[in-house]
Amino acid sequence: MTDSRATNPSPPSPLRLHKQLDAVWGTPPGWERLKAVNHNIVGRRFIVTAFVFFAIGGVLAMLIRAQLATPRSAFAGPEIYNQLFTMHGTVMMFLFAIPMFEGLAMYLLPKLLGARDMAFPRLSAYGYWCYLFGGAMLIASLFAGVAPDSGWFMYTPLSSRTHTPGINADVWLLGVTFVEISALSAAIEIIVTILKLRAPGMSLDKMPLFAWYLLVTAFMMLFGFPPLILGSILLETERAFGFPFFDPTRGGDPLLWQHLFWLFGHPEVYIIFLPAAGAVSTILPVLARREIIGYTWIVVAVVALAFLSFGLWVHHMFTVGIPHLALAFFSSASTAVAVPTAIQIFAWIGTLMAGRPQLKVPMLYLLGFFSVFVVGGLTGVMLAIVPFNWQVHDTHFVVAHLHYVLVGGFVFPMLAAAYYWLPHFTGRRPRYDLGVPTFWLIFIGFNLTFLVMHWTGLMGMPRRVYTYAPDAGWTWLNLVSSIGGFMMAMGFALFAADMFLQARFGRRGARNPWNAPTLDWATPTPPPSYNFASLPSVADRAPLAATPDLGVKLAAGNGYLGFVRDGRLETLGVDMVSGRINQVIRLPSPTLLPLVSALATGSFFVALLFKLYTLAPIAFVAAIATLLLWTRTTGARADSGPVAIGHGEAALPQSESPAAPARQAMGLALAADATAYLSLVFGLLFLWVVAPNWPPPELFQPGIAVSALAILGSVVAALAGQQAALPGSLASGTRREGWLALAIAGNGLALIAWVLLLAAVPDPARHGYAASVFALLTYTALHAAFGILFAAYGIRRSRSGFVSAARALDIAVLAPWHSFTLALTGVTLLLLHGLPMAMGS
Amino acid sequence: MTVRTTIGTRLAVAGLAGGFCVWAVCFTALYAVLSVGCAWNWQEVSLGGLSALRLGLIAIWLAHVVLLVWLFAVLRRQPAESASAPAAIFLRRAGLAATAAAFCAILWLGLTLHTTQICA
Amino acid sequence: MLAGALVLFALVMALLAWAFVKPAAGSRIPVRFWLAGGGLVLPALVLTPLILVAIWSGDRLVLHAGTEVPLRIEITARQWQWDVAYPDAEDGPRASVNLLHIPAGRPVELRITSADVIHSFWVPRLAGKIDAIPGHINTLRLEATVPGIYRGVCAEFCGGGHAGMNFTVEAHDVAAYAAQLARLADSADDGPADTRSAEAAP
Repeated sequence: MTDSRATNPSPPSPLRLHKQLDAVWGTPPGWERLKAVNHNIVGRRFIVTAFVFFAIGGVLAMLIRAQLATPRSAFAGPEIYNQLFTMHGTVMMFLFAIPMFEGLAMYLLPKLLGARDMAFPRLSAYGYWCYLFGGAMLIASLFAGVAPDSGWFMYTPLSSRTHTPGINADVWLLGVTFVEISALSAAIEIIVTILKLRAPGMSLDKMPLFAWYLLVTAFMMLFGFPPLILGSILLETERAFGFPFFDPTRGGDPLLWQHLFWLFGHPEVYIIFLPAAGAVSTILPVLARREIIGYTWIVVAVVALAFLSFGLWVHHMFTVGIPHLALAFFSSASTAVAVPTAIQIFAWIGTLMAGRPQLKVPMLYLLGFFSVFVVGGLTGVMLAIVPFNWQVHDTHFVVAHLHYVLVGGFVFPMLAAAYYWLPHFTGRRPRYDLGVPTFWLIFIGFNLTFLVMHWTGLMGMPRRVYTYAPDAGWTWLNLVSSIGGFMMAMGFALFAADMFLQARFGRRGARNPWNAPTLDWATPTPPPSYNFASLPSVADRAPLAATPDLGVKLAAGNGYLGFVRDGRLETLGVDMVSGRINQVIRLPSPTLLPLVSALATGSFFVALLFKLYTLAPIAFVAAIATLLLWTRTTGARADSGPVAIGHGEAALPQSESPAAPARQAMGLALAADATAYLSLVFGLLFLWVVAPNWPPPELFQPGIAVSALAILGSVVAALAGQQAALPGSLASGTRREGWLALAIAGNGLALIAWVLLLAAVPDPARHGYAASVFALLTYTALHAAFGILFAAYGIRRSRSGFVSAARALDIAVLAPWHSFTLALTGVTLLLLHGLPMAMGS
Repeated sequence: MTVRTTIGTRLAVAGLAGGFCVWAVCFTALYAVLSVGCAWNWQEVSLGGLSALRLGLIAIWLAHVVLLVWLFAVLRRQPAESASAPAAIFLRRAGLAATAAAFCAILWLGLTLHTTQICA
Repeated sequence: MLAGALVLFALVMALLAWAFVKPAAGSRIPVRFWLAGGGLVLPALVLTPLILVAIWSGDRLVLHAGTEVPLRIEITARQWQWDVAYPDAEDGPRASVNLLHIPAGRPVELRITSADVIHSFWVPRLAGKIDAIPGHINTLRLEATVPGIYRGVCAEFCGGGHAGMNFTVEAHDVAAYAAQLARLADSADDGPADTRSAEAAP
């Protein structure tokens, strides 16, 4: 189907083009806004909601400081206080920091990359609702007086059922897991967007540094969150059904929780830092009026940082009694991470030195970042030294350190980003000069609160104590910290007011007040729903410097896709490395489905929370069903071949492209899946080696016949799944559906085998070994079950006419699932057979 | 699987991430063997003066060092592409630098292997 | 470490100030100076001696074979008190609660565990801290060189009574130590003698 506008030499006027684009890309106001999937709206929602949670976390901090301001204060007893500090940490880490940069990334990335939206808009919207509902669950518990109270890292056995019988811990485990679905889906989407949805010509070396930072961060999330999710599932299972993963009296071990938690927890803080550093790398060169020095160095440093940060987790556990050499490993790795950090710091300093920096408001906050974060980094190196750590671990020294790195390394850059990009969000410049007094209130308040806190910790004040004695010598230190805290709060309140005033009453100004060279400033401000009326072609790292009137040209329709084809929402897909166009990506219109799916998912978690174990599976199935409904509007019913994209060029639609985003998303999802599975494998092996009360009373010997059945079924399913996606099979409806039916049968056989094995496992509540075996079998069985579902889905899509030799996407996306399930089968059986043999010897 | 990545993509990933993946595997293997070894008292087994556990750890470490050097050499041998493929030049430089960084990281790790007590 | 940190911090702040006071002053400095000099050389110069000292001092904390045999004492933490047992006491096993008697000038080996949740044993003036984990026994070796009273706290959040879970260490002259132990309650007798109630005062 050719598009006359692609060959028509004169595109419509910019206004007319805008109206055509807005008609399909825009979201109507009012209740229709619930259907929004556009990244501008969803990104802003994430940011505003995150700020609201920041305010809640801040109020909790104020309550903590009110209690600690004086010794023996009667303000809050231990029961309340324990909820206060647990929720402060939980809210800040899970409900503020991660969603804040997710929102910024969602809003900025398509613009920086020269695309019209993120790769999976409905997934963004679904992620937002999951975040909102999960966060609401946590906050509701606060008002109900049953908020989590075992510390934000929820160490067992304190958080197990024996010592926390109420639902407090379940709220944390289920609420946080619910929110983390949002984080994982955002991670997958960010990776795919950065790798595939770039402007033509934007090869990897021309990508803005912010995109590199987010790419690396998203990969860290992909591998860093699954251990926590798995650990939370295990702990919730222990609390609900008594499976003793962490109970040392029954073959579990409290240290397993710590390892799983910190495997997530350490990368988490770098996940929080890196996007902020990306913002610094974006804003600083603009305000220094010079391109950043060391682009390649920075990319390599960020990659190094990402990997190294996964090798540090035990430095949170230096006092648990690990082997001496392990202490040395983690100590040395923890110091090593200072190197890539220093490279970035000096790249920034070098840029400032070589440029002509302007002391504008965002730069003020960047200077705040430098001074505060560097202090945090230095105390971090101190903490890496084990003898020193053994004194200050679990004291207020650590509290001071973590606030210096998190507030310095994340909050200050985000404040700078707020002042820098607010003119983009609103199209207005500030009318009142509130940025400077806000900065000083926050900066002075922060240092007053936390600088003396290093000394408080060195004087021996432990963490998480609700009060202290007057003769401990900590009194005036705490009072100073509390005063500082309130000052900081005033600063943040002023910041909120300033944002509101700018947004509401700011002067409408010219686009690009900072004279920035990046593509984000080539959109109108505030941006339209579609960002660019036509998509740019990019030849270097500073597109706006090369073509200052690029924005006007694009609005006039001079770029790619400067038209609306059949009412579709389209953007371009490119080759990951070179940036050459390889597909046209079709994106979804506003729909209520993400909200519906999030509600269904939420009811699953709420059912588990209130122990409604018959409702839970129903809610689970409903959630899956609503998610499958998303595919009704996806895909094409006929081959179209390459379609016109402007400039006389053409590209395949994604449904016919071997490089379609969904394929990569599946690969990434399987990587996260594998990480969760390997965490479970680690759990079983850890318990075997370390946990007390082993060997278990009864070993599980899976039968040979049943094992063979599982292997046979999985092999058949994997091979059939592969065959179904081959061009030869795809061409014929009967052939591809036949292979898929065989895949169903294979997975079905495997599932029967797994169920038989599950039935033969000794009581999982009796010993950690049985519980782990049960978990491994369940994990693998679930994959076989989903394999059946996915193959059946493939058949349905095939019957509905969505599949052909050219349109392989529906089948090809799911083929890897069966191969993955086969891998799981192999490893699970190897473990289940091998472990008893190894234990016997 | 029908997804095919181009040579360019594979090399890009190999360069940027490969070295550190080797480091990560080495780190994991060392920590795992160290933990299991101390739990099962392998440090008491003596092999020619040194504990078997320490020898084993050093062997694992050396193997990964060699692997990293080999990886660096392979990347170095890739033909430098022409200026018409600027991403390739960047990726080659970044890949070599990342692999060199991973090499430094693994050496830093090895520093501890030779200098401290293992278990106590 | 503090001195080094202050120097590095001052360096960074000075460079930043200079960048603003003298714009483009550094435009002729080669890029590599910042990246390799500040990013590689400077950290290497700082971190290498630091980690070597760290490893060396860490090694010194570990008691090596061949020195005096330490006195063994067993400590069980529970919500919210410290149960101390002296299995090697001359007159038979002894016990005390929230009070640890040790001889001054002699190394002591504390075998620490927990009866319920994770706690952490910490006497700041005598040693670093070590966690008390149920199902595990962690060993801490310490020595009080001078007789006296040393206060200790629980350093791992363990629930409602965490803030008040304090204890006292009394280091006695070696000569007086055996007599001191003899006065303690028998370990079979949970008598109130020589327990300190858990006041919220370290």
